[in-house]
Amino acid sequence: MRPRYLYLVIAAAVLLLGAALAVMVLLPRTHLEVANQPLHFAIIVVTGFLIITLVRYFVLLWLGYLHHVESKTSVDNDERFEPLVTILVPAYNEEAVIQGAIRSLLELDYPAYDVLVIDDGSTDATYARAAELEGYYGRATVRVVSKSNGGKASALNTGIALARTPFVLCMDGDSRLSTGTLRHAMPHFRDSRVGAVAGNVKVTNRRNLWTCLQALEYIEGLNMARRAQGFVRAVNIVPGPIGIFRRDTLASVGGYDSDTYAEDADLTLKLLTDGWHIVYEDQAIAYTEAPENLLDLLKQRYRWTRGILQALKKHSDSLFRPRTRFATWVSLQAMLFEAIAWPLMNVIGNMFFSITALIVGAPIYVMYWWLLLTWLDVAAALHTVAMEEEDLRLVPLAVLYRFFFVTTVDVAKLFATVEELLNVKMGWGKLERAGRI
Amino acid sequence: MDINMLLSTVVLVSFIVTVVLAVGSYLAFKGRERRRPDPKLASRNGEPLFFERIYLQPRKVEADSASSVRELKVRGSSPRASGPVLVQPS
Repeated sequence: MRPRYLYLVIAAAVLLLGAALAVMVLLPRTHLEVANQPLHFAIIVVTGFLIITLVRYFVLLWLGYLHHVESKTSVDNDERFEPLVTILVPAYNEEAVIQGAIRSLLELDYPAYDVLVIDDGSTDATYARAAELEGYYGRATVRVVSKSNGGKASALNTGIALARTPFVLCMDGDSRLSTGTLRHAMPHFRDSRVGAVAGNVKVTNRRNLWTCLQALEYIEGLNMARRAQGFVRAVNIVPGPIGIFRRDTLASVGGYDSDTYAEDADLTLKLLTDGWHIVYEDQAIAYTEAPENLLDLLKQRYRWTRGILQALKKHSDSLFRPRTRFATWVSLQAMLFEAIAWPLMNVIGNMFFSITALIVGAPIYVMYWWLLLTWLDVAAALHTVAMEEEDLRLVPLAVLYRFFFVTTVDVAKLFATVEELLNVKMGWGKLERAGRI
Repeated sequence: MDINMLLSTVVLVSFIVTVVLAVGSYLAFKGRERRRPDPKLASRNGEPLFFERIYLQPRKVEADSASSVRELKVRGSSPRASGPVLVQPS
């Protein structure tokens, strides 16, 4: 890590400790100041919420830091591990981006690999555009096949069946991989217990406030959690844009299922409950397009939430009756917490405290509370952005992150949870891509 | 009104407005989805378009002319390729 970023990581840790002290010292004092009974109760609830938030941040950031240290000290460049890999690119109506995706895959820093594009019955010129690039390119061979439409899961299953290598990399047709992806990810498979490697997803179209906030969310929210889970080798979602698997392992668990809206989460849970270790590699990077407007963002999160809940329901026996590793069980519990309890706490907790403060006429406590949460978010953003040596201009957005972005997304998650519990029907809803990659 | 009270009120009102807008946005999203064509109209045999279950099967060597999959030959020669790519129907 470059010194500038190392200092920022240390500064973030100090800020976090400061936030912890503030919560522990200031909030009990406010209890003493408040004579109003409802507000007193609200402050106790909010103090509990802040402590859970603080513990969550500390656990995730500390495990994430241990993962970072471990990955830096365990790199063994002398012993090369470069087995053949097939990169599976499912594509449905991706004519705007498919050629760029294939070309970027030809530039990977890896000695020998296949690229297999699976056109999933596109109604546009995806197949023709991809077929133009079919052939042998020295280190890489590009193959293109087309099948009748069946969804991403069926396209990937077709690709897994056709792959002629012991390892496969599953990605999205509209994503790009960093050149070092395979070189960094494959050595994890030296350990025969590792069944999959989850990569690092980054938002590439940072063009407006929504996409910049999502870029921060991917770093501060998703990657922070994944890095922590990686330390205990129990990542609970291998992201759709980048996941590397043993081909035989995928075949042994039956590949991807199509009965949930989050086939990547479902497959990950199948592997975890089958006893496989799943690790995280932050240098295996997939760049993806994030939704550029609010309604598309809500559509994506609605589908993610319902899909994760469906996957958890499918594997509920492992959730409540642990039969595998303790770390796997904890990771599944964390998944349930993040899917249901965390959004509920964010929205209901905030609403409860705000309304109480409004009714009893004491909005000053809302400001204390907002300052503490913002302090925490800025510290977490600084820490995670510095850890990934990312664009530091994302850090100030943490001020908007909690109250504006997280609240908006969590409201959609809550509605999605209710609709999933009520079994309301939903369509797949492929996102429209701008083709900016 | 002192500055603390003013800022507190701004924070409080901003939060409540955000929640109201979030609920409104969700309703707008649901309304937009409802206006889309019914996926069943594009389905086959009553199955939703995106939920055709595909199972992994052992790879076959022979090509199937009845396959819905188009077969392509690889341009050039790959040291690892063992002939044309064969695809089985899903």
